[in-house]
Amino acid sequence: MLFLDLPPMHWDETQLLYHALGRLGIECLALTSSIEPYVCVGFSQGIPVEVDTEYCRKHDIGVFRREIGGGTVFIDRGQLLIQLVLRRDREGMPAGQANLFRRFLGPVQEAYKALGMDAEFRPINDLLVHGKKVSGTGGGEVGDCNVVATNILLDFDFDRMAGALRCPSEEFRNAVRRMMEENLTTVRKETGKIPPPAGLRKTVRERYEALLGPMEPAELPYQVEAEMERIRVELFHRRWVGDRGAKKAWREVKVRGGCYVAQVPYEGNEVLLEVREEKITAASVVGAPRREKWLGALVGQAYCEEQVINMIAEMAGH
Amino acid sequence: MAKTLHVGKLRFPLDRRYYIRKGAHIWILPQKGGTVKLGMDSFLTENAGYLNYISLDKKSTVKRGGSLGSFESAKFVSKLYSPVSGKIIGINEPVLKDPRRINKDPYGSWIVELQASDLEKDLLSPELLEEAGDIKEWIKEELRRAEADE
Repeated sequence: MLFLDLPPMHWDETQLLYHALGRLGIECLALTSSIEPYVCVGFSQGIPVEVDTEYCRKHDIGVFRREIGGGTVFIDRGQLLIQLVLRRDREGMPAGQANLFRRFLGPVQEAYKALGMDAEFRPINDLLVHGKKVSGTGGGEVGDCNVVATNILLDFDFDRMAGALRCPSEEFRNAVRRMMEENLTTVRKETGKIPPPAGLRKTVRERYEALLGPMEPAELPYQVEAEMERIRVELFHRRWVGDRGAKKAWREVKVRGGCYVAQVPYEGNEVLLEVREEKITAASVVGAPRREKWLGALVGQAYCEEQVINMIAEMAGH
Repeated sequence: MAKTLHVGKLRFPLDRRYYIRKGAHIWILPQKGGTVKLGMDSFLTENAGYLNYISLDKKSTVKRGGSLGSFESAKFVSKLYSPVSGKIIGINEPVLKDPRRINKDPYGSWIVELQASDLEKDLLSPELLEEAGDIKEWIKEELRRAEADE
C-alpha cells in the first residue's frame, strides 16, 4: 500500500487524485492540501442547487462535484486532506457502508487526540470535539476500491463557506453562518495554534499504519497523473456539473448530524427553520417584520421531512 | 405469499435469488417472458441507513456484473450491480423519486426491470443464491463482518 505525502496541490487536483487512484485500483493513503479555496458537493447533490456560483466566481473559489457521498464542504489551505483508497476485496473490509466510516475514521480520531483534542466518533461519519464537528467526510466505491475522504480542520473560513452556499434568503445565510459557528470547531480554536504540518502528517500515517500495516512512501505515480487528466473531462463535463442531484422539497443545509437550516415554502411565504439534534429550535417567516404567534408551536417538534409541510399548513391555518 | 427466511430482524423471501458479489446485496425476481425485476435486500437497507439518492447510468443494456448506476446512503456511494445481462425495459420511477420506499419495503420496491439476454446461464452463477441454507450462511458471515466494528 502506498503512502503519498504530497505538497499542496491545485484545488481540482486534490479531488481528481482519489478518483484516479480508485479507478486504477491503487491502494493508498494520500495526504495533501489545496492551494486555492473551493467548494465540493457530494454525489447526491447538484451544484446549481447547493452553490452560489456567482459568489464563487467573484472570489476565485473553485467548484467541484465528486463521485463519492457526503455533503457540501468548503476546502482551502486550512485543512489537511486525508484520502484513503482500499480495494474492496481486501481482507477485513467491513460490511455495511456505515461501518467503513467507523473503522477508517479511527486513525483520524486518534490523530486529534494526539493534538490534545478529545475527538469522539458519532455515527454515521462525524468526528466531534465537545459536540462540535471537526471533519468533513464522505465515501464511495470508485473502480474496484472503497474511498474514504476526510480532513483535519486546522482552521476554517466561516464567512467564505456561508458566502459560497446558495441561500434562498439572507436570513437563511445568516442562520447557516451562526449554526456553523455553533457546531463546527477547528484545531486552532481548540488548541490556540496550528501544529507543524510534517509532525501532523507523520502522526496520521502512523495511526493508519497501526490499522492497515506498513505503507510504502512514494512520489505521485505518473500513471495516476495521466488518469487524473483523463477523468478531468468526465468530472468537468457539463452534464455531470449541471446535474441537480436528489430532488428536495425545499432548500436545506445540514451543518452536522442532526443540525440543519431549512427554508420551507407555504402559501406564498417561506418559513425558516433552525434544527438542532433533529428538533426544530427556531422558526420564523422570511421577510416578516414581526414574529407570528403560531410559529412558536413548531419549536420542539421533530424535524421530519414528511410531516413539516403538513404541520406548517395546519398551524398557519389556525 | 412466498416463504421467507428470517435471520435476526432481517428477512429474505425465498421466491427470488440474492446476488452475493461483495457489498452488492441485490435480489432478482424472474418474471414471465424472461424478464427479471431487481431490487435491494434487507441487509443493505438495515445496514446502510436511509437511501437518499439513486442515479441510473444513461444506458439501455447491462452485462452480468456490470453497473446499472449508483446510490447514496449513509454518506457512502455504492454501485448498483446487475447479476444478469440484458436490456433495461422498465424503471420504477416512484422509487427513484423517493428511494426511502426501499427502506420501508425492500422486497416490494423493485428498481429496474431487465429483459435478460441469457437468463438460464446467468442463473447458474455461484454468486446468485436461492437455497435458504446458503442464504443464511452468507448473511451470517455478512453480519459477522458488519458487527466486527461495532
